[in-house]
Amino acid sequence: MLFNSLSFILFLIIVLALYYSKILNWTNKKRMLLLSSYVFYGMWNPPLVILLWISTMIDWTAGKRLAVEENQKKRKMWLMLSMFVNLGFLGFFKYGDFLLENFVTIVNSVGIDFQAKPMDILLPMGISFYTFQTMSYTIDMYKRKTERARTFLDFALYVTFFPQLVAGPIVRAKDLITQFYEEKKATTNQFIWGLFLLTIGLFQKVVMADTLLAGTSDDVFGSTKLLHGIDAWVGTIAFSGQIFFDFAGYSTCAIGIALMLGIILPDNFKYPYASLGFSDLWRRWHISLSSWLRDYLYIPLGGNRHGITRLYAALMITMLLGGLWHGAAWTFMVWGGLHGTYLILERLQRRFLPFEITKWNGMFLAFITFSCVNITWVFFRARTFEKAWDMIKSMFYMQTGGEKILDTFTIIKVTTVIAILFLCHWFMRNTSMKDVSLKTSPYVLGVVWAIMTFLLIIAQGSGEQFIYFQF
Amino acid sequence: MKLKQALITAFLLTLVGVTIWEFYWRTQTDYYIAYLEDDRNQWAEERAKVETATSEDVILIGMSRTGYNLNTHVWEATQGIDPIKLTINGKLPGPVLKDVINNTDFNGTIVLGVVPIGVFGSKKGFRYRVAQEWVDHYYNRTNAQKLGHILSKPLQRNLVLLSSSENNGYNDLDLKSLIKTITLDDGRVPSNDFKLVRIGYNDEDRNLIMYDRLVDNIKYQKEITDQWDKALPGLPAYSEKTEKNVTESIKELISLTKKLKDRGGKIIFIRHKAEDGWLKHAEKNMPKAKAWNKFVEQIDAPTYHFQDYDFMSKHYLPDWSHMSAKDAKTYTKDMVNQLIKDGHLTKH
Repeated sequence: MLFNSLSFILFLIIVLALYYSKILNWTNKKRMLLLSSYVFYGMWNPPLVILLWISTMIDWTAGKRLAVEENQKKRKMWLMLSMFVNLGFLGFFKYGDFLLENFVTIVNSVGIDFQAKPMDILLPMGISFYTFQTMSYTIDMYKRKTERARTFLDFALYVTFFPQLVAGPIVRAKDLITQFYEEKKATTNQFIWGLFLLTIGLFQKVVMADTLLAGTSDDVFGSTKLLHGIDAWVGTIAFSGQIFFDFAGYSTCAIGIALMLGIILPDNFKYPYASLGFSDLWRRWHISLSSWLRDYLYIPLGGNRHGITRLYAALMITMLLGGLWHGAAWTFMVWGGLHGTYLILERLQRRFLPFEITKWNGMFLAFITFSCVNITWVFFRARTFEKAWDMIKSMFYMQTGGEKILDTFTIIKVTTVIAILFLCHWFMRNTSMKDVSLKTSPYVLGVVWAIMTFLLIIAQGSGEQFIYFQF
Repeated sequence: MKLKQALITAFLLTLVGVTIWEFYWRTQTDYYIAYLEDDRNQWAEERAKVETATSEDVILIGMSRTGYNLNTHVWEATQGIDPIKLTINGKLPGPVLKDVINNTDFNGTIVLGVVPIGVFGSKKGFRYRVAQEWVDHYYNRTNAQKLGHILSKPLQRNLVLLSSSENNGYNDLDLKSLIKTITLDDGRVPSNDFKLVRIGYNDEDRNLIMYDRLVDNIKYQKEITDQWDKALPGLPAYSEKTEKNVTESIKELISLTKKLKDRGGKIIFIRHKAEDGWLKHAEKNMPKAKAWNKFVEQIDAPTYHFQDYDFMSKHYLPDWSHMSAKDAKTYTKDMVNQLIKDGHLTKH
């Protein structure tokens, strides 16, 4: 079920009505939330709920045993079981065809004539998110960093909680399960603020991403021609804005909906396009994934504890796998590799060319960071290396005479939207929406809210999927 | 934080804004009415009827001419069978025909409206791909999408502001379409001055109905035909490539017809009327002698061309391509009676 759909509005009204009715006690409310979450997921493809159940059962059992087991070998075995099942699902459903394709390429390259039909496996929506979330529980249990979930219901709800089930934020057990122990009820202000966040999230998705930017990005990346530099840049920054509004929009909706239930989810984006460098970027973009990768991949790989070479290797491996997490294609690996390279270069700069960031050079640095990020989006968005390389060639005028496909109004529209986005991120980078709203007159806030709602209504979103659902 | 005031302010302003917006568009009665838009969801609901269809049933497949010219209510009143209307406005009928013949065991009667460029032309373009997407949507639509469509129906039936279509009419009212109307013709790219406003709406049985404004008002007719005048000269002249497409298409239609007939089904091909610019340019692109006549010679099924029957060619087409709602009723009745007379349909 998509947040930007009428069926979700009806679903949410029913859930809220039941949640705040007096007929259910807290346990039954949690049962209702769990059932609703399965309905939310099953409305897309009912049989795939079974995967959620399997993941839940395995990790609940593993967590239960890890809580009491003292034998280190057995503890490791339970952890391995959880990893095997979760990564196995991910490997089969997400990377099955990719692995097969590469296997065929390798055997063909050594002279063996072998062809395999693609398996055409359906990718279960949000599988990368819920497997990472549930794995974090067993890993934390193994490391004794978190308490065992008190009841199966609490754990199942943690795995399945519908606001963040299919596209995050990826929440740690200690941050969410514990919230299910005591009865939760949003205060009036929390409820209204949640509704406001839901509106902003939908506005970001439907108006900003789908209406203002997606068309340009699709036209540019869908073109088979070698494009003029301006068109390539505009298409790239359009995608840059689209993916931010799309994904941050989803997270904002998720946080808002949870807040309407009195549940607090962590921020997933903090004005990332005004980042001062790439370490800063990853503290601001998809925070729940980057912190997951840091805690469960980068640090176990050695982090910064074993010298410079190992540090760089850990950074690069983490970013390459982070790229692969986004999609089963080499272009995503290149995207991750570029980010890994940026992070390494930034460390080298700090070591050999340190400089102080002031308010004067800060904006310039943010702009440079944003521009470098845009280059990585080319590989993220392009479906083939050929297309990505054509885009890079066009963007840097390594080949002249590219075709113009965008009209002047579109160029002005996209550059204006992205310039405003960048400036908003810059001015908001050290504050939050909540802080700004506290300083704003409620009537001004109401007017802004009304404008967003009005534009949302006339945009008539056609139920476009969120980009991150495919990851 | 005084969020209650903010909420109340937002609610009241949104209500006022949406009400003004709705009433403004309601005053534009020549162009807008509230109705349930024929989209891929509505098509999928109609497509589902094929699964339970019997040998007595009739399926209408085609593009907008079949959509406008053949009215299912009149068809039912004349023959006694309510046809399943699987036409797709502006998209090619190939994927639908192939779906019904290859993916179902339907053994009733298919009536296929033939627009030569749509049936005998290339299968690679946007109009073919979108038709295939509609077919795929029938198989892939989720329960959430089905529910969303059900919930959208009362809103679409009552709100003019929801006037927008998958065909992207130039005068659609969704924000994206409204923004698209803003242009700066500075010559950076060739300007897209094809601004075709919508010529009709549809009823809930997917019959397309021409707006009254077009029926006898030359100003509105010209608004459409001027657009055809801009677009149609761009149709390429008949070439070797066209001939290849025609040959392949006929071969495919022969094969599909055989498959349908082998299981007891029937197919009837109808070439509806076109006139003026549409006829001239379509003839240049795919001359009757080289496409339709060649097809008629080879296909083992009944064919009807508007130039061969008075009742098919007598109506005036306000936009050179489609019939008015009134003429469509007469045309449908005459067409069904002709098919009954020729023994291709049975009166019930």
